[in-house]
Amino acid sequence: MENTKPTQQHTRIEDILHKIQNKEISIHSKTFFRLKWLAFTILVAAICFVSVMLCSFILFTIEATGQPHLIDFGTQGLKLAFFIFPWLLFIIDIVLIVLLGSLTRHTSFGYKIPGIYILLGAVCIIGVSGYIVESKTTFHKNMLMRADSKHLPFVGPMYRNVRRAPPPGYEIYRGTVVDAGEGFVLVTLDAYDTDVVSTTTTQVFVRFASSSPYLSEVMVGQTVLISGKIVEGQIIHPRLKVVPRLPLVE
Amino acid sequence: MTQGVYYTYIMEELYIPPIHVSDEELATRIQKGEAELLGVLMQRYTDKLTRYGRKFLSNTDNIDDIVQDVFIKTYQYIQSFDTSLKFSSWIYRIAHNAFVNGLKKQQKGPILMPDFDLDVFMSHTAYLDPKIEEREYAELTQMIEQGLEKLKPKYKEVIILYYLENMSYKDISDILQVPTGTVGIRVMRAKEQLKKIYTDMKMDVEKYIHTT
Repeated sequence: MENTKPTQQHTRIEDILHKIQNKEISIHSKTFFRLKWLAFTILVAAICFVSVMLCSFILFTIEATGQPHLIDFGTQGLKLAFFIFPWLLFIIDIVLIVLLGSLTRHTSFGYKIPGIYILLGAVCIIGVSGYIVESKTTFHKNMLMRADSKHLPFVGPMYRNVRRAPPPGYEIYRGTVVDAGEGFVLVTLDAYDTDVVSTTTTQVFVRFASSSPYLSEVMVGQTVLISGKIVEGQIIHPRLKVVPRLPLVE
Repeated sequence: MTQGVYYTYIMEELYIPPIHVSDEELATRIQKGEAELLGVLMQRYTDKLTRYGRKFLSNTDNIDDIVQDVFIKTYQYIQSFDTSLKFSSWIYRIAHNAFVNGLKKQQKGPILMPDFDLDVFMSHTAYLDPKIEEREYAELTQMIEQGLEKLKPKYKEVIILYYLENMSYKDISDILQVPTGTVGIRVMRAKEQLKKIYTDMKMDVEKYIHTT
């Protein structure tokens, strides 16, 4: 039997060459690949930017809501910290980081590196950049001010939410010290359900033992977190933590 | 000019370059506009890619068509080829993607080769290509072909490329776009699977397959 394979092969090669000659198959230009690469780079940069901003906002929220101090309030504090943690943003950021890692694997160098290293690298870079944006710039504070004055579309409610006091039910309150004396401080509590906490609702006497170390820490005008039960407008022997003060509403 | 005459013109009269002209050099010339030289590359790779495809896909009816598509893609994407790299790895990468797509179409069910693979994710000790005696290699190759069909695709592809296409871990890493350590671990696991398959088939494999 005659071997027809080489002939078939030649026919197929010939067919492709003929299509090329007739311009039925066109070659993608270098510009096409450069533009593709540029689009890819812009996409990666955009994901990086959004991811860094989200990360810094999460850190800003944690700091602004005094979450690190809630640990000192025991189980209730931990529960509250868990409840007010911005989980949705955190999950979105994780998804973006995974997406970033996945895109990096499609580069000429990325596939040579195990995925775990790429992911850890991305987490470190995004985390450090987010920390720098949060701690070394006033970006989020400025955004918060703009949100307060309703000049921040889309993300405005997200920023205004940062001002919310702890929700009821945890016996942990946030407020501003308006007076301090022998064994007590007077605190104006922030309300949970106001969008922007400029409206204050309740004043409570917070009573300590005269030897309490809290008394030397607290000064008028400071923002504090207090845990304890309010009975007849008083909280007796509470735990108290001074937390950073958010910029005032203009 | 008719197709046949054109082909003869390209392949026999004018453009058959000396054997020492490398694939990379040919690719460079195609990038610069000598599109006809694709014929030479097609001649060099048709058999290799067809053989790779036949081993990779169980249904081999349309392999010639897939290989033809691979060459068309090769031409279309030739400007993206970095001529400082190996052309064979690049064209095998295109072929690999085409065969994986072919496999997905064949199965028409769940995708067997997901993008996420723990082997790629984790770091593995850098595996070096082991040295295998030529005679042992030939016998091993013959044995492997018998058990190939029963392997998972991700193990099958490394075994085909390593034992049957005689490629290095580095080349396989470039084709599959996975770390070299992952290639090593997959070869090792593929050999373990093969050993189990052969044990089930009551074949003596200890002589050939050392999984540790």
